[in-house]
Amino acid sequence: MSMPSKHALHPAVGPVSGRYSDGKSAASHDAVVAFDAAGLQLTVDGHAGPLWHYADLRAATPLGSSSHNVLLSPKADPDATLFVANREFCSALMEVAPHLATSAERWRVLKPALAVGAVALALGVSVWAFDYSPSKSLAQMIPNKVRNALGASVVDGMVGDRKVCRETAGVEALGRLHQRLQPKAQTGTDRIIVVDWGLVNAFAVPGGQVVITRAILEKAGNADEVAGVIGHEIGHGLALHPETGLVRSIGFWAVLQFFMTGSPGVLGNLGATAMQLGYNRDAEREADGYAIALLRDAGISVKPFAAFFKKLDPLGKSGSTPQPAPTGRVGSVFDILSTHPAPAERVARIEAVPDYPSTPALSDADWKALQAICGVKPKPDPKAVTPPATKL
Amino acid sequence: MTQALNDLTAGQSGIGHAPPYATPYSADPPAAPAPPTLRWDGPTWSLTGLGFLNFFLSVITLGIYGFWGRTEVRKRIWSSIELNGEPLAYTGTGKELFLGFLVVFGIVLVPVLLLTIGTLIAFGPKSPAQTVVQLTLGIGFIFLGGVASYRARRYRMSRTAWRGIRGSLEGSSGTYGWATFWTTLLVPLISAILFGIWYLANFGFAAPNLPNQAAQGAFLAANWFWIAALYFILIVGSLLIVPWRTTKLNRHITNDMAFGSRPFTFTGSSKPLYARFIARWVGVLILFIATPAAIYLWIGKARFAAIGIGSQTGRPVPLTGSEIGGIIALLFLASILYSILTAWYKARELNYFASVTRYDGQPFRLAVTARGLIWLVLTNAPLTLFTLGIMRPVAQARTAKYIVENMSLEGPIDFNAIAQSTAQRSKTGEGLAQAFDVDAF
Repeated sequence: MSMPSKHALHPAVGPVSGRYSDGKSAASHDAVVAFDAAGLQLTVDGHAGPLWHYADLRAATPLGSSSHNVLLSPKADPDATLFVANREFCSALMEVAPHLATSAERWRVLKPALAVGAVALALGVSVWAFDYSPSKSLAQMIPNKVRNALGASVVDGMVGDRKVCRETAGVEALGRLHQRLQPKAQTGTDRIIVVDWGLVNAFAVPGGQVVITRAILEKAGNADEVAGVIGHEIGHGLALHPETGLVRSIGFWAVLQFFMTGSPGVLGNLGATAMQLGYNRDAEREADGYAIALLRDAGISVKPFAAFFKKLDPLGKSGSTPQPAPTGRVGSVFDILSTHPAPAERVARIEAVPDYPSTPALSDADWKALQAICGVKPKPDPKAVTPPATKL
Repeated sequence: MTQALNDLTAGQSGIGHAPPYATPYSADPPAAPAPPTLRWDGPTWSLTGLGFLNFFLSVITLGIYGFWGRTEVRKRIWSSIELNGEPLAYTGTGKELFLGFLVVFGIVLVPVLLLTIGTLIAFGPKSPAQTVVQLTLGIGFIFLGGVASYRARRYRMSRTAWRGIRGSLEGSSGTYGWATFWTTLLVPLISAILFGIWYLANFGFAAPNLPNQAAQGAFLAANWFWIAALYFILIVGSLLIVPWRTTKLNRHITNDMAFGSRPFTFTGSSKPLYARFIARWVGVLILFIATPAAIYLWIGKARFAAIGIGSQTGRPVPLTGSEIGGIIALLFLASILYSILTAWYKARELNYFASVTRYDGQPFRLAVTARGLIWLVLTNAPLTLFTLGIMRPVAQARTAKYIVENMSLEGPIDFNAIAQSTAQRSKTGEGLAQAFDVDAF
């Protein structure tokens, strides 16, 4: 035993007993441990054992102020173990081998991890500062064929078992409205369809397609209101919002999978939702801007568009979000109701547009035809009272 | 949770009969060797602080620290388990977990994503190609899920040490993946073959001509007996295979496990599980019928329709507040009864599996109870769910503590005769299990 030198370091902690295993068998040996100048001097079963240098010690669990036992191994012989259940020994050990402390262990990992985090943050901030959207650049690179395929897939998922409305007169009326709203300079929306669906909503999907529901036509008081909604959705298409959203959600998914797998999944979801919300609000303002411009170019009044928003949300609360579109493809669908800026703010912006000469978006006959695009619904009540005898 | 229990039951328990800590080695009494003692000496609720710290550090490092945080939690849980007064050690590192994840991210997740998007773009939506790809991926994931849980078990076994002696899992993850794969698909496959035989016998190779709903209805009405019989085979078969399958997979993985130079053995069959399994499902079936019946009796026919979303027939009468309260109370009662039935079976399964698992010839004894399991689940679930997973370390430690405190070995083990494991150790850990979300710790 190296009794003389131990006092040099820790007069308070004399030799301590523990259990030693050589890592070759699961046998346990009686051990006495002393603090030597160079390291821990072991005495195993009464015979002089190995000297473990302080710097080469490893602890199975990092040491803290509350540690009451420690399981040590030397770096050179990682299977050999020494177990000492002694509080004083643990705190003395922390002084001579500070790298075993919990904080030291954590900091070793944190330094590079924080550096990676800082670089990512700097990248994020510069993207934001220069108002550069990587997803939008990528979205612009998607060929039309791919955009259309994506759009068709999204429409399929959204429409599901519901019917796409195809009454001839209605389709023609919708075509005329589409023609009128179509921007002159750019390629706008290729296709507008009406789905026989009782949910009041309208969507823009990739490939410049717009989907509106039967309920929108029922809720709207006139064709101008519908023109506003369609203009808004065409705006999304022109700004490539659905494509950008798709790229962004795939990107977010990949990045979150990458970075958040070591953490609780909820954290990632919260982050993704927050990001999506922020982006969508900007997108809605942009689409409203397009809608106003398209309506003005087409000579259709913007006032009914504002009126329609008030109708949807008479209390002016933004919280009353109806059920979201049942698609599974977050970010690729821009619908008129969810995650929007407060309607009051949007209404105010639309109402602030100065008056200009305007004509109704559709003739009365066309408006009636458009409203009946899904076929005339038989009203349930008269049918119920009709006596079967009249049927011959 | 179940995974955690299985892991602990099957593997992460070292075994020993060395003298108690303070006793000199030479005093080991050879005349009356006692079974090794297993004890929990460590934190449970006091891991809360570590949970919060790990969460915070993960956030500020964009999740990278999570791998190291999880490793520290494991170290603390492992070292709380003492066998003959000496603790287990978890020797894995955060770096191994991180690298394992990177590898799987690159070779599984990204290619799957690209393949899915690529097929969609190349062939369009609802194309046969897309269906084939999705189906292949889905079936492939069953195999990969098995591979993932095997590899995760192997990693943890090889990173579990006691007195410096390591555990190991010496077999092929592919073989286990295959066993998982075919036992999962067995019943659906048999049902599909029976359906094929039935169809060919009755209709030959002609494709069914069912242009509209009326024709489909007529077809179903004419053949309801056989269709119902095939569904019956599919559902009852899928249920009845469960104990057999669980036992088979457990036997497979346990017989591959070793601690040091000695293997674990599993000698059980699924027979002793069936009585309780069937009793449990009869109970669940009664619950399934009784719960809607009770709600129907409570609120009446017209309002019963209101529960269904967008009832097609008639105008549903809205529910009153007290009726909604009553329904919630009934559903709550039903879910409690369901948990009791499930825990009652699960306790049997865990205890039985322990009793047929031996190390060095000594069987384990586990005495978990349905009541204990329910309490554990009911308290651990909100602990993880309502805290964004921050308190998960506490839940994990409580589960481990419960198992350890109810587990023992039947007889003595000669630890002096157990030599170090010679199994190869993998360089990276668990990426696949993480990708498939099959890891509990």
